[in-house]
Amino acid sequence: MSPADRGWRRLFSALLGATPRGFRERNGAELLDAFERALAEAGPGRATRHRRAARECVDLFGVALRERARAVGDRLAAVSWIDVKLGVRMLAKYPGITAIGTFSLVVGIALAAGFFAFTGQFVRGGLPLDEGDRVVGIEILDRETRDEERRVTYDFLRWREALTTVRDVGAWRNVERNLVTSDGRAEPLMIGEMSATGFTAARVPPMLGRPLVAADERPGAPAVLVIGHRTWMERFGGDPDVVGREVRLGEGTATVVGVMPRDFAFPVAHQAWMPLRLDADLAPRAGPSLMVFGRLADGATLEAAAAEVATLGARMSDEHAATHARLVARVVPYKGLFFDVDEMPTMYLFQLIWVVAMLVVATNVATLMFARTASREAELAVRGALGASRRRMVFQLFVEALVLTSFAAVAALGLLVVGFRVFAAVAGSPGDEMIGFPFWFSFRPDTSTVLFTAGLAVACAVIVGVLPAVRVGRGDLRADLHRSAPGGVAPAGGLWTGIIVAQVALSICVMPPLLDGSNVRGLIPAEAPFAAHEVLAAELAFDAMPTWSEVQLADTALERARLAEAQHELLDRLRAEPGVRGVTLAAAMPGQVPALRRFDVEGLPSSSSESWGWRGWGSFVAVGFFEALGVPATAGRTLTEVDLETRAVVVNRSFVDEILGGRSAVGRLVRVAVRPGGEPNPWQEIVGVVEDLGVNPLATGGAQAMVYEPVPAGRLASFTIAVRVSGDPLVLQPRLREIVLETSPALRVQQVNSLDRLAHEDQKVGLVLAAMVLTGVAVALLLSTSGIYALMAFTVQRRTREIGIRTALGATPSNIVSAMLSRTLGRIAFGVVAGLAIALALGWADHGRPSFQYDATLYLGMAALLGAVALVACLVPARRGLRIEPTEALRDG
Amino acid sequence: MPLQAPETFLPLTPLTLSVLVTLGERPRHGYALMKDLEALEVPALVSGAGSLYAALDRLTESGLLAAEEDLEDPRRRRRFSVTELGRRVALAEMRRLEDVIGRGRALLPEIG
Repeated sequence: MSPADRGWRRLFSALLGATPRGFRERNGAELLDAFERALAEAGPGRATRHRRAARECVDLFGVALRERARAVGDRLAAVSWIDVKLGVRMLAKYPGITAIGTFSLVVGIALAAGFFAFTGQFVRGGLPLDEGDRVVGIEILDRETRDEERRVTYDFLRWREALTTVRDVGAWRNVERNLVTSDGRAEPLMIGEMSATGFTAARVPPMLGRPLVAADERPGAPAVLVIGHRTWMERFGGDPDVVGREVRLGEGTATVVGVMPRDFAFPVAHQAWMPLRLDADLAPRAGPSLMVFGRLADGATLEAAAAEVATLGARMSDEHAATHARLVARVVPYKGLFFDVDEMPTMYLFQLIWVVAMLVVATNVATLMFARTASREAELAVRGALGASRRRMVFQLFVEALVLTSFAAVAALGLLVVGFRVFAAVAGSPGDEMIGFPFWFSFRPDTSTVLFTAGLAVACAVIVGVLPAVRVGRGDLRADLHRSAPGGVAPAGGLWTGIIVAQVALSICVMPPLLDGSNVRGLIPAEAPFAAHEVLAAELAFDAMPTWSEVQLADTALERARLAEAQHELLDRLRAEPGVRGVTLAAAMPGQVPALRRFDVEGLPSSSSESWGWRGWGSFVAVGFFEALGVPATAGRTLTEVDLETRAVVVNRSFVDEILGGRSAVGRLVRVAVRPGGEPNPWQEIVGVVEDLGVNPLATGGAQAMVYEPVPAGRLASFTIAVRVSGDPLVLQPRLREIVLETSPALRVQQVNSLDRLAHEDQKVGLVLAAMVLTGVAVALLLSTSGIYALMAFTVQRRTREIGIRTALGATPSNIVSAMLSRTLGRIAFGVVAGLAIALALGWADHGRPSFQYDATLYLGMAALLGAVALVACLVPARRGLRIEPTEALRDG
Repeated sequence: MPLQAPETFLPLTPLTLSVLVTLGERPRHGYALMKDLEALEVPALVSGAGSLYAALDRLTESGLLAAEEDLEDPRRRRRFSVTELGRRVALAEMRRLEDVIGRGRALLPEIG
């Protein structure tokens, strides 16, 4: 036999080893023999022999795969159906455990899969367009800070000229204008000022008229507008003659030239497009913020495009060192424009955290199952004695668990679909003009999500089913049988108490940040010290730039004068309306989201939980703001004209409580804090204090402190006006829209509602998140409780006889309870201490000294809550143990 | 035990039918069977020894073949023979094929 033949033979026998054992035992020797003879008889030609040997090996490989698959199929078909039935029966037999376990798994899987599905919208798959995976984005980043540079007009024009691997290079930016329809209605419209190539890159033709073309981008070309299907339906009533019509847009006009089909919303969620006109003479790193897209040229790969863009970027860095030395250009899949590729590791980390959290949930369910499985030890031991193999029993427990987790996974997917719908309804429908989800968002779980969920179900089943089974099935059967007799020694499962300790500790570390990060406080309706339901509020924005002109930077002073005039006129006209008791303007009204700030207070060191400044919020308000809302100063005075010069401020009660610790505020100096080393801001005097005016939807972790600074007219380009009336404010709504439109077509009404409802709208998303976090906390508590309870109950049940004997020998109830509780309670206490220690260590890493990262009361409260719940979970079964009659316990023995 | 109805095995794969027919002549060892099948020069009837033995396994399992150790063979290989059931299955398959061919002739008379 030649060395080559020997090699083939080795390969053939290795492949034989891959076949199932039964097949190998029956046919192995004869096959090897047949192989050798086939080679020997194949003839003297080496090529023929090699061909024959290769053919045999490939064939055997196929046989190995097929036979293996058949063997698995046979086993599943023969074994599992009974197991599934048994599983269902066992789950039905313990409905309490099943209900708690299922509920926890559903929530756990839904959260982990929900995160996966949501992030998948940004990272997985191409766009739902023809060859949508070939649409790309081009962006520029700072080499070191990784900050994106969006002022890319100069670079964009170069890319458009030079790139050969990317075609249809285009850019867009968003502008918002009032669209005044023929019925006199003026409502804001989000417009994408987009290169005409956007339509060719997306490969979607218009439904009516024409798309934008290159000629529209030339200076002096007539202003044109392409509208989306929804704009067409909602603003133009689906008028088939809309093409050619001239419409008013803010202070200008434009001609509608085309209507796009339904579902077209490229580049993001757009329903109106105008040509993007750029100043070709702009210097590098100047001009408006743009987003750049393109489509890979035929035959070009993403890698080739990346190389070309990088080369071009390097050349730019050389030629324009002053602006571009630190910049790098790169090509990303289109969705990458909205999701920083550099953030991927963070995202995967978060995904991992969710999965681990879910596995912790599964481990908890396993604890429950363990108590149940342990009570079935006798059954399992008997089955073992009757000849069931250990593997067979473990497999059965696994299938039982799989029944449970599969059901939970299906329910979780259902919950996910419902959850996405609710989230979409709350946060805005897909393609909404204002915020809108990107057009590629789908609110159905994709294949990857379904597979991911299936994987989670199997992983959970392994933990839930196999862990208890391994635990119970360990050791010899006689010991198991012996133990299962009443009065046998309970397995003081170190693993399970370990899990409880870890879980208590984990809850204490993880829950406070979660609670802090969500607006749980917002779930409690706040009492505003003024009648928010009698205030009509309107969010307005001012077209700061002359409409779509080439002039990008308007004269700021001129802009301010125009805006100031408009604001004055608007407020004056509203004041003149009958029934109006007060009108005012602010950057954020009570209940809306103010600006997150940090403050320094003169003579007061910064907060113990922050490295610099005090967390708080700021809003700019017009002079007369508090009077208009009917809010008096509780100390000092409210803001007057004089304060515009001196920049004096008013603070709320929370500022006094949280930052000043209840000390007097009036006369103190405060300023907006800057990071250590920055140029400090000038001090501002506090001249008055008012009550807290309402819940700040984003205020979390107790920071409700608020500073109101007076602002002159003409400074805020987007603002909210409040009109206080007697009675129902909504009556005034149509009149308000009229007045705004008459005052200036450049003023856009974003939203109008009574102040309480407007604030509620702002809070909705936060409330949904808060509800989710609270559900999570509830699940964690429920699980810990039921896990501890199940273990304790099990222990008590096992020690019935011991308790009986002790009672008979004269032990007092307190002796017995302490004997039963001491170990468990000790471990829970250890978990609490460990959790607090870890939380402190995390705070140490963050602040450089041992402190909690968030409000200390959250940590201590969580520790107290868990401790109390654990105590109750121990005491209830322990009490049951005390009621055992000695005679009864001994008789059972 | 009554034999399973031969029709439940139909249709057979070309390899199965060839195995039944060839072994119907006389029992053989696996390797000899492979050589004979290869000599039929029907392309790709047997793709390798592995496939053939897997097929023999399956046919033995379902009772169409019988395998017995050949005590005279120095390597104690198994000798495969067709069972009564196997014979009937092969006949049923051939009748089915004849029927198909008959109908094909009626449809395409030029074939003759």
